[in-house]
Amino acid sequence: MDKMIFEPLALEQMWRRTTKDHDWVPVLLDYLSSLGSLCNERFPSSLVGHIKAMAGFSSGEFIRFSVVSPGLPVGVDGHIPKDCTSLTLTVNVLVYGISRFNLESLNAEALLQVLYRWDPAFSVTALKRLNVLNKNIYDHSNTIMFKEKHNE
Amino acid sequence: MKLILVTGFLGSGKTSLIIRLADLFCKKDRKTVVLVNEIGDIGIDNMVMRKLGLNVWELLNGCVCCSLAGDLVDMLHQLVSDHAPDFVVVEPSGAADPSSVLKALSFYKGPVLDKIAILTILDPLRLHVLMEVMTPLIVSHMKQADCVVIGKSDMATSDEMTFAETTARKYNPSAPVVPFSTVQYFNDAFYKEIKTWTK
Repeated sequence: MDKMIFEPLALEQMWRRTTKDHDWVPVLLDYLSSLGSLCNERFPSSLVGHIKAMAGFSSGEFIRFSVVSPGLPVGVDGHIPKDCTSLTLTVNVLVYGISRFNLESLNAEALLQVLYRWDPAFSVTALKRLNVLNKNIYDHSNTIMFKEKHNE
Repeated sequence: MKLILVTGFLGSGKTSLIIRLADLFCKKDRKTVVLVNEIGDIGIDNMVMRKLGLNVWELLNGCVCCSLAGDLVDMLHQLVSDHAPDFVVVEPSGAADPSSVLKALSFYKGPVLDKIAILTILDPLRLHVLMEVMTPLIVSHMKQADCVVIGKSDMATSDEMTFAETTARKYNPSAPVVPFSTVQYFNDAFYKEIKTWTK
């Protein structure tokens, strides 16, 4: 049995919509489900704990997305104002068995895939990548075990 | 003052449950404060709860069962002195072991807690997988619970609900097991359980 690493990744992205022909929700669903699926495809022994994302708006509205497994639909709460042309999306990627470095690569790949599919309707700028403390804090070595050797 | 610890694995539905619980307590005119612990630099759950008008305190960038155990107790002292709530609802991160959180709470020296209730929420859609990969953590969640909630009951199949209920009863035969979904809210059994805390 191997211990699974757990290195959370927090991101902030500025999404822009260049045309009003497309809704926001499908593209964001596409991005988050792609990220979840890539985790599973590239690191089959990994376990998606929770990939969650949220955008808030000055009107008081918000939208929240939740991915708990690549095989399950992405959960959505709230909504995006109709005339919204840009939003800041905060994303927490909590996946066991994939290093933060690899999670960042997977995230970049998911974004590229989605932007290609939706080109030229949306664009994304990475605002910041937020470091999360040193990984020892999350080394729950007594509780987290793994059946197979992970792929790293 | 009563403290309710809502435990459960990442993504099992703790935040959704807490939002409903806090709403229920507020409707009963019980002053309620929510303390959220998230792993990561940015808290998403607390932003959502604030948008919904809840009084939320946050502990970020670590886990209350280990690195932030001291901070949890300090924050509890402060929020009790600032707000004198009837209920404090604590949401530890989904990676936290509830027994370690309880250990940390033993250092709390504020006004006497009438009750510490542990509500554990299971995700029936993933329980099979989690019981294979995260066995000790999930079992610990169930064993410590005063009440086991099976979430996402509107999405789960009857087989998944049965497996979740059987598993919960196996590890904690004395705790009530109740279904919950954000669509159906609290059923009678769950409401009855909650009512015993709000007396």
